[in-house]
Amino acid sequence: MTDDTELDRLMREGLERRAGDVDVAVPIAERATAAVRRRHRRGLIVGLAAAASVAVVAVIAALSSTPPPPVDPDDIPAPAIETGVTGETGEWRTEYWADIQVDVPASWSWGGAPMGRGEQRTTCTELADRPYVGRPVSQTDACGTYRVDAPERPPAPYVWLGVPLEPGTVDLGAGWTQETVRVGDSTVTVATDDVDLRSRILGSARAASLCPARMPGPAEPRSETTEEGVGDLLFATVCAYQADGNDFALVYGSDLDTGRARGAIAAADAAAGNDVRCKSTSEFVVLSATFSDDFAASGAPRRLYQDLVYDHTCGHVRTGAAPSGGVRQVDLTADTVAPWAVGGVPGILRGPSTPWAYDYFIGVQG
Amino acid sequence: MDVGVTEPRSMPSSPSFDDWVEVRAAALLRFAYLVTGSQHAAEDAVQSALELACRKWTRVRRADDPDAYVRRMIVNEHVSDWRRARRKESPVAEVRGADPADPADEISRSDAVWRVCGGLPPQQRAAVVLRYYEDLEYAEIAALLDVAEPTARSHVHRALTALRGELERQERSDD
Repeated sequence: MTDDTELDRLMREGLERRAGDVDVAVPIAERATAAVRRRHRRGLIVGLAAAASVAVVAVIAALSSTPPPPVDPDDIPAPAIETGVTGETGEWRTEYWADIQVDVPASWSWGGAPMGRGEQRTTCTELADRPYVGRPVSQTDACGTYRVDAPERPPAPYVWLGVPLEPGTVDLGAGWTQETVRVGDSTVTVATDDVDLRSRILGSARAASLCPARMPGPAEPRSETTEEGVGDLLFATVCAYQADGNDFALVYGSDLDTGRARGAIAAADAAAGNDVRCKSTSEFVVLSATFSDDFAASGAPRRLYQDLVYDHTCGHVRTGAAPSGGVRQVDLTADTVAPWAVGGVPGILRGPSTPWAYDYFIGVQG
Repeated sequence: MDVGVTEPRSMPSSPSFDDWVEVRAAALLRFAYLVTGSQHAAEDAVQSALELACRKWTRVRRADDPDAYVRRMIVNEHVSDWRRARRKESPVAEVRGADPADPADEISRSDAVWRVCGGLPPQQRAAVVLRYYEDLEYAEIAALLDVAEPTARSHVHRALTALRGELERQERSDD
């Protein structure tokens, strides 16, 4: 019988031998950069068309006087984080994590927060130089170290959700304080030099009410209707989950503009069917829409519900197949996510492992 | 067709995408070929990964190891393609340059390696290539495949078990 050392050698040499079979003279890099340049030119054209609807004369003048910029692969702009959410009451919005919710200034961005446990933790956030709400997710490969025993004064205030720190306050110097409180099974941490702001944010932390804090697995879709159809779309929500141990934890929740919800439902209706099956998933999103039932019998519930389930690992969207019942499964595409991948979604969710995912989510990190 | 091992020239600490890809493209193609088993699939996977890397180069080049970043995207692209295609039977690896009538023992065993790899699920195959061709440690393999380290070890162990079985079958048929 062949021993392990011999097997190792055979495997190594066998792969080395086969690696020589491949033709490496193909212009693979040139094809890739050409594709990037084509995509960038399409993006510039779309952007200019959108601006033209607002200020046509200004755009035409700009085109005639300014040559197109050279395309530099090192300078591809990141997609802007668009806020298309309701639930912002004036200057404040509500953030959701696991079993808690907290109110934060509506202008704050979304970032990462220290991950892991122990005295030294990894932090991979892109937006540390402006006020943000952070979650323990990896937004970037350029990571740093956070020392629990020696926290530094940050360049801008932050709120961290779900970072396991001991409740209490830490003096960061120059009037800055970091304070952590426990709410339910989670923690909320605020660092700022504004005492009133810190008090208001922490005072708003409470048990969450928008989405279930945990799910055993991807939700089942549903699509309720009646003979008369559905009434008005009253409101919609987005609840996003990531694998956490044996089940899934809520990492983001938000109300969703009803116009965007309609767009999402329409995009899923128009998408191509697929029948891919996966053993497991690591991230999924539930878009829930609530309609009025204008013809409900007296005393009966006057609401109809539709849930769409987006599986980022498996690459499909599952919807209820009304009125016949059952489930319809379609391809997860840019068109199906564009209506709801707004607000905090691009900075919190990894998304599917596809090239277009980087326009709507963090994307696969190296 | 390049069959030699080329030492990469030294690069500045923050190379441009064009400089980096000029040095690394061949090695990435070889890696993708071993992971996918096909010239065509390897070119597709590498092109997709390079498009992503090019668009994100400002971020990618800051990483400790841009190669690891791109290798991960190649593996992810291949695994995603495999799931979408729902291949029910194992992918058949291209066997080139092998004469079935060639009695040379080493070539016969090399064919066995390729047959075994061709029959592995994509993530297992990727783990084998990362271990035996890229010489990564199990912790690095686990991080790249986004699995636990024991899972990475299990992938490789199963592949070696399959190779042992294939070699024993081969010896029995030779007798």
